[in-house]
Amino acid sequence: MNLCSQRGLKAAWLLAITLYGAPLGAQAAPWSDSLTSASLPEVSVLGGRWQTGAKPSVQLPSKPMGWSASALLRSGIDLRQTGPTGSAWISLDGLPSNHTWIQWEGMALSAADLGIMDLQLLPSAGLSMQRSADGLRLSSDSIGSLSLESSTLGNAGLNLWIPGKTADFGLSARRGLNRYRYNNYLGDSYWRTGAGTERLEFRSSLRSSIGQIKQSTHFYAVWLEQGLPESANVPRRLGAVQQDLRATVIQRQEWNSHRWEWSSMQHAVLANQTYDYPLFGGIQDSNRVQTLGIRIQSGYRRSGHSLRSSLDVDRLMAEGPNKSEASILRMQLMLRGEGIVAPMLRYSWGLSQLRQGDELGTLLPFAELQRKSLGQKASWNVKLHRHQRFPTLNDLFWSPGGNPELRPERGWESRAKASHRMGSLEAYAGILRDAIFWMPTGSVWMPRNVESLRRIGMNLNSTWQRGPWHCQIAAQWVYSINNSVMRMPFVAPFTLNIPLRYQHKKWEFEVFNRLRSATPTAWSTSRDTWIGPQFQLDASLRWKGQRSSVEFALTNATNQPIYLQLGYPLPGRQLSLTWHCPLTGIAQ
Amino acid sequence: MKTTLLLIGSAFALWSCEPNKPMNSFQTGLYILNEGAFMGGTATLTHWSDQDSITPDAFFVANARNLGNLGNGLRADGNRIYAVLSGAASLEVMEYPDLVSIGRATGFASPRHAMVLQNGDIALSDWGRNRVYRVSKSSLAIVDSVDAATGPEALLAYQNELWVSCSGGYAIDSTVAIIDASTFDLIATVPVGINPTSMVRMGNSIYVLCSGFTDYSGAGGDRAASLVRIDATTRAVTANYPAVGIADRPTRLQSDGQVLYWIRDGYTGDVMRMDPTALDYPAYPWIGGGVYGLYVDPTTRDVYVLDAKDFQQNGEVRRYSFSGQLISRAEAGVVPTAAVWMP
Repeated sequence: MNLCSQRGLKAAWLLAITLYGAPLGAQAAPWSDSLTSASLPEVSVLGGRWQTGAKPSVQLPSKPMGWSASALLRSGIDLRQTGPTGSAWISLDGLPSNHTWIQWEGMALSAADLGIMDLQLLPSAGLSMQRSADGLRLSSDSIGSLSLESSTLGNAGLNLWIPGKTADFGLSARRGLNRYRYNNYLGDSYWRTGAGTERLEFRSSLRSSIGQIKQSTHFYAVWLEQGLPESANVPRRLGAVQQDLRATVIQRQEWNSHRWEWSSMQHAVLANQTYDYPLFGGIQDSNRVQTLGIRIQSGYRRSGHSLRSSLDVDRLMAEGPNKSEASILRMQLMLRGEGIVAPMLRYSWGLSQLRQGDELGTLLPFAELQRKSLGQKASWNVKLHRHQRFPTLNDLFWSPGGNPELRPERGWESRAKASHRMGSLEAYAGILRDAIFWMPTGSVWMPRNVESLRRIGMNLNSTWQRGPWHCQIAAQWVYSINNSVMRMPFVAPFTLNIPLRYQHKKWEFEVFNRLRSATPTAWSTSRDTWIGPQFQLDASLRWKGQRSSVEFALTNATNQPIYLQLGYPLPGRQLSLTWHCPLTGIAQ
Repeated sequence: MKTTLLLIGSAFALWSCEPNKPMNSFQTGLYILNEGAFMGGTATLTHWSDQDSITPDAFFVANARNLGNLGNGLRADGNRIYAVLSGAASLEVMEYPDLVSIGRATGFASPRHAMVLQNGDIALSDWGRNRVYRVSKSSLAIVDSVDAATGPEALLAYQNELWVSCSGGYAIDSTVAIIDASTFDLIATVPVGINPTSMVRMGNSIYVLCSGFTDYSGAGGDRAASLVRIDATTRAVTANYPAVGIADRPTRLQSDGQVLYWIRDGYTGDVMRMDPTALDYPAYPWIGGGVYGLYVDPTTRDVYVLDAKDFQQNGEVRRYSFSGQLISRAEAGVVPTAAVWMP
């Protein structure tokens, strides 16, 4: 196919739309063939955030043992985790974890009480995680597969994903012993204890149509039991055990015509968590979270321009021994327009209004301009938007310390990105007012609004390929500080990733070099609260056969001490083996 | 050339030779125990010398390792310093003045404070098992123990007795237990106010600061704080001073032998001061706000205020005279919690 021809361009964009838009249930239909210039990728209207549709720099395929810390860190994501395969929280571009937007089937996944999402409670069977400029997207693989993985940590897992024409099925099961050597604060070497995890996930989708209305239902349930290991600065002992059970269901109805579109989405989340800690005579705790919501969207398009509206209504509820009254109604109204003003020049604009309980939020404008050069060799994109985040249920209702007087966070962000065939450079800047953080006050910890969080950052990506060699450089620099010029905790000021790949026939050898600068774990200049700089080298060897592939992965090949949280060492050198088999022949 | 080398070598020898002074000798000054970073951090020991020099982590300098998680209590006798690590569940014993570790006593669950007994053994209170332990001064092994009521906290040695405040831990208690220091048997219990957390002795009186209780369930079970005076000989309560503010949660009672000092609230309180002849609990603070720990030097009567600031930065120690004048200040580690002056 000659991409330089008109038909070739259209075909390329339709392919791009299909690849990007397939998992997003609220996506509009491809544009009319009456357009004389190539259309740019669709940009979805989503609850609370705007997605640029920027091409992700890294794709993170899910593996039977889940998304590994190494893979996430290589993509420039900041991560908090105390043990492998355990709970993990991510933050992007200098913002706290509760600003990370993770979408599944068009719905944002986050715990109503905490406001953040544990990666281990995301659906993983048959999905890949894509990092884009604004967040993370879980996208379904259109090809069925069966994967098995095991490692020298005593971990093993299985992923089964069977997509079909009208139904999908996914199953994921894994058990991690997570036994590895570590040195405690006295320099004594021990086998890690209390870091084991067990996880079971079931995922399914059903699709049908009633006349012109398409109906789909998506469901996933996760059961997770994990040990919460103690730090290396205390005696070696079993820590707490936490159990999570989470079920999420999304139901969607869509209707599309030549000019009009309409969709309705209903979702429900039920989550239960228990906590058991043997010390101090035994501490047992349990918390339950429920979310019910509905979204109604409509849109009209004509002559290369479109206008969309969206209304979200959600009821967030939480119960537990430390939540006195935890239930709130949240609403959001959005209006969005987009179109083409000139060949290869696209615009987007929007207005959004949030309401939580009795409090009306600030009007949130958005504007974006995007241009691609003919032949798709270069492009640039600039964006400016205002965002807002209301306090979570824990912020408001936690006992003791919950603060009903909290003001919502308000912020501005601007982004500019230039892309070329060889790479891309993105710069961003933002300010967040009334940022909510927990701090000691009197005799309890409670959340308070701090004056501001300011951040600037740059992401640089460059790729080079010659023959069988492929090299990429990905560097991130971020300066994220509060009004006291203290750096944002758990945000690495600088990271550098250099994957190098060599391919020969059916074999592929890859080496990942990762450098992470010293990282604060508190709002503090005291070096006692910083994790030192870290270097990690991973290597993998893949064999791709006609019917299956095998991967040998050596993580932390140089056995460096790796920490994502102070006092919690992650494993040293470890070897894993993954077998992957696409299940071809299944009707698509 | 040879002469030059000889001169250089002699200079090195003279420079490095400090007769009568061991390596890393810290000597006279204030030793501050810092809790360390929240969650997985490690405690540190700051030395603030009488010449105003500061060694931020003197223990690490002396021992090339960390103390462990969550420093809670600090005690000293003539030639040893004892640091209680609540998170690391251990008692670190250091030689003075070089701070070289003599050893670590382990086997605890959640130790809180230490007290040196008459025979040199060390008593240790433990919240994790509601127990008081006796640790041998020579072997640093646990040689005896006695079960106490809920949340044994402060320890005070009086003659051959060990007084233990039962602070309630995460619940409520209102007793002081008296243990025979020789047999380590419980010999008496004195009812006091709600959640006694600290004690001092002045003359024949033992003062017990009771922090009160906040019912976070909202069921209205709040209990007020108070200061209680006990006759050490008769073990009778001779005075009870209810706190002025119903929400006050006073802690860290200290004394210079003549005046009482404490902190008004748990995280960021004012310093309160009371003459033992006063009839009422003080209504107003002596030094305003931002205090987490407190130490009073009985020799100079200076008051050292330990300010944890936001519990994430390095804290600060401020030295005040008896009259309340700020004399000097120094940077401490993260969350300074206890201090002791060594001559």
